[in-house]
Amino acid sequence: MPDLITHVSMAHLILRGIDSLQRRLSFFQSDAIWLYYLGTILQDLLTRPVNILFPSAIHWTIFLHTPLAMTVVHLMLVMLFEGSKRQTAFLYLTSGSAIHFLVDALQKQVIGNNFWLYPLSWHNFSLKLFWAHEFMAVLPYLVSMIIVLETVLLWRPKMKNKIALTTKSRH
Amino acid sequence: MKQNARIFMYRRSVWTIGAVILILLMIKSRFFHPWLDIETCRQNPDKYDGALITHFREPRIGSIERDGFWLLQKTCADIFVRTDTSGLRRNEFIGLLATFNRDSTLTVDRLVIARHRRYKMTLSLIPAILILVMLLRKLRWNHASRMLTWRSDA
Repeated sequence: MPDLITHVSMAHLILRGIDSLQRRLSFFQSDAIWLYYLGTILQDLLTRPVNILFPSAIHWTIFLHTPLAMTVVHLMLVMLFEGSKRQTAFLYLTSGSAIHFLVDALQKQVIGNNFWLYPLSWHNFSLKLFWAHEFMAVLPYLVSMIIVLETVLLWRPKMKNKIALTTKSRH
Repeated sequence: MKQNARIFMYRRSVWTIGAVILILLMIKSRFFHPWLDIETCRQNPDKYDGALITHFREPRIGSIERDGFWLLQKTCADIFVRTDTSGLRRNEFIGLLATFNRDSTLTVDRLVIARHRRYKMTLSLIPAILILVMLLRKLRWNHASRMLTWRSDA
C-alpha cells in the first residue's frame, strides 16, 4: 500500500477539486474535515502497526482492510458523536475511506490487499499501475503541488481585497 | 433523562452488533483464508510439495548464496529460497510468491524488492500524528451529553 502521506495528499487534492466545483460553503470550513482525513488512514492505522509488530497476526487483522469492516467501524465510531453530527461524521469518514481503497487499487501487488467484496470473495481489485515504492518517487511533487495550491488559495482573498481597496481609492 | 437513556441504549446496541459483526469477519479471515503459511507446509512437507505460498511475515533477504538466499522472517525460522540472486541486497524487504519444495526450501515464482519501505513507514508517522493531534484539538467532549462534538460547520 502507498504511504500515508500519499493517501492523505490524494484525498486532499480530490476534496479540493470537489470543493472548487460546488457553490456551497467550503468543506474546509468545518472541523469535521479531520474526520475525512482520519477516514483516509484509519484502515492502515488499525492494521499496519499490529502487522509490523506481530507479523503472524496478519490473518487476524486483514479483514479490517475491507470496505465492510471499515463501514462497521465507522458506524461504531460515529456513535461517540452527538446525534446531529453523526450523519456528517459518517459521510466524512466513509468518503475518506473510499478514497483510501481507490488509491490502494492503483497499486501493483505481489499479493493483494484490496478485498472489496470480503467476506463474499477474496478477489483482489487492482488496476496494477504502480508499485508501492513508485508512489515514493511521486511524493515530493504531490506535496509541492499541495503547498503551492494552498498558498495560492490562502493569498487569493487577500489579493482580491487589496485590488478592491486600490481600485476604490483611485475612484 | 429518559431521552438520554434511550440514546445510550441505541449506542450500546450499535456497538454490540458492530462488535459481533467484526468478530465474525475476523474469524472468517483467520480460519477461512485461502493462503498457505510456511509453518503449515513445514509441518507436512510431502503434502505441500509444490504448493504456492503467498503470505510471509515481514520477509527480508538474509545471507545471499550462489543459487539463492536465506529468507528472514519475524517469529519464523529462516528458509532457503532458490533464485537468481543478481541485484539482490542483504537486509532488503521483499514481496514474494514462492513454491514450497519437499526439502523445505522455496523456489521463487515472483520476487519484488520493497524499496524505501523503511522510509515509507517513518514518513507515514507524520500524517498519522498530525491528524490525531488535529482531531484532539478540533473535537470536544460534551460532558453534559457525554458525546463528542465539533465547533464549526460548513
